[in-house]
Amino acid sequence: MSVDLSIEIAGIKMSAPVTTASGTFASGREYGDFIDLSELGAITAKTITFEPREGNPPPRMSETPSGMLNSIGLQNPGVDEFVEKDLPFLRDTGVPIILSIAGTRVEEYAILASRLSREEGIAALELNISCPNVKEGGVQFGVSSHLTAELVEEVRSLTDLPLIAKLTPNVSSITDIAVAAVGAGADAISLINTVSGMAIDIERRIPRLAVGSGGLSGPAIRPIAVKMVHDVSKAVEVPIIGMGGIRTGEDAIEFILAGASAVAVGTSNFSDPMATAGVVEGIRQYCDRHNVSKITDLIGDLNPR
Amino acid sequence: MLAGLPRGATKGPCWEPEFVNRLHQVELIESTAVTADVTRLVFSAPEVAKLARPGQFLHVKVGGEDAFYLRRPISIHDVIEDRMVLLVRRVGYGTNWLADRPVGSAIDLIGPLGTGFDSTLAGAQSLVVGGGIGCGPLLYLLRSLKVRETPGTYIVGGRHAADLFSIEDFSSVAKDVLIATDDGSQGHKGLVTELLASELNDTSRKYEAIFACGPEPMLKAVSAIAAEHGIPCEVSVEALMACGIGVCLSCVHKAQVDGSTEYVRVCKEGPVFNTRSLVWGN
Repeated sequence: MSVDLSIEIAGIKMSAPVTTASGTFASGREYGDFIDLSELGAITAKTITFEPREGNPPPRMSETPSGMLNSIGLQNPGVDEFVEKDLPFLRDTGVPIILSIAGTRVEEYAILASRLSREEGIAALELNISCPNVKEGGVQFGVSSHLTAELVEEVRSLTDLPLIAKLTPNVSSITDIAVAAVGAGADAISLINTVSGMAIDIERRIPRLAVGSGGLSGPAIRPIAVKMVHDVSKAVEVPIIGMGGIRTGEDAIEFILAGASAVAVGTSNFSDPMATAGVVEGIRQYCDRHNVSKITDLIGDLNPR
Repeated sequence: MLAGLPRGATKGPCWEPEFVNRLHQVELIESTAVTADVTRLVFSAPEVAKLARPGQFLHVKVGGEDAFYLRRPISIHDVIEDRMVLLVRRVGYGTNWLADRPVGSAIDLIGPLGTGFDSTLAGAQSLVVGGGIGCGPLLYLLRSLKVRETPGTYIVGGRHAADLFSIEDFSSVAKDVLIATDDGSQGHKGLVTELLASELNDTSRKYEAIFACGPEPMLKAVSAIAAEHGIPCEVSVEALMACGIGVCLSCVHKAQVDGSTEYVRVCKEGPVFNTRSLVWGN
């Protein structure tokens, strides 16, 4: 039996319910040496800002139990260089391209959305309102229902591209933020961004990251992400892209049963450059094993205990 | 581990004509402790050996299939026919795990990766300076300089005589080997950079390039000495890495690029940089 893995999310036609977590796949070029990129449901590129950003000073990364802390600080070449150098490559992959954008002010998201709406071959915009690593990297929006709604509404009025709001787990109620984003016109929700964290070098008595703290990702955060996907899926009607520590097809199935329509593979790309392809294959094998003919049948199909 | 995609394939299902899958499963065929905390590992890895250049590194998976660990970037110490040699210093879980692998183990690695030394800089006379485990990538560099018939002079520093390793291997490929130890237990008592400075002050020799690898303070000092003498200098820097292939931007170092200062990737533009472009500190 051949399982139908295709899914449509906010108008994005994905051949498999698997994309990449922004910032863990660059624009896909490097991973093209390891996997066939056309097997992915979509590629979500690293967050771009209007102006180039230098990023934070190193050290920017510290490995922690079953995960890593990072504070890259949205280093990117800015929208113009991205459009010139990376967008053509992304387009040529033939898979839907999701572009993640961030800014310090509503106007910056607005100008990015307008600018990118003029380009061919973009399937959707992901609004990064959840980066914990820059003071003004959008997270000031993502921790407030009011500001989230204001931002999404403004961008919504400027583009016809589907909008995905990417949410931070570092809030008291992620469902409130999700409801606000959807109410303002978000077509889908992606979650979770990294969990705020800190690690200390006890020999030198200094923080391991140059900027003091960072965002935790990897399998360590998976149960947090699964619960948040579950909770948000009960609160909103739009599709959810779930992410947080996914390494295998089984991990992805957990998110889909919790209510995600698709998943993103992030930190696992770093340890296994073929992780995304492995997740697609793992989902296929699970479906074969459980006689699932359409992946859409599994979304939120959780039995009560 | 993954179905459908062959491991270690050099051609694969990709539209890029130059597609090379650098993910390999290789066999550990030798493991020898060379000092109390440094282990020399030899892998049978013909595909890797064919491509490896001095100064490049391998990104080695640690901890087995089930555990989640980031890969460990380890400099290529030597290439002998179709075998790859790495030196691993036991500093934590990952390096201990590797150093403890029994001979015959299959090891998963990506490589060769990164930008290595430019041995064409060397000219007739070059100095190769190593400190601590930083000696790692210098053996293969010295071997390639010898093959080019421009053997380099090797200057090595360590805390004690017991911390120095593979001196015989280095002697077999270097024109000369000069040793410095902090406690004077072997060679010059003092810093490796003192030996470097006195060698450069010997006006009877005209050195055309300096290559170095070691702790950052040493590299900074070597770089300053090279600048003072107006000699081109390349150094291999160390950084905490996640992906190893230029994606995550964890391992950056500050450098001059086209007149402006920016963070460049140690795993891609490095780990070897010309000190002309490198900016020290954050």
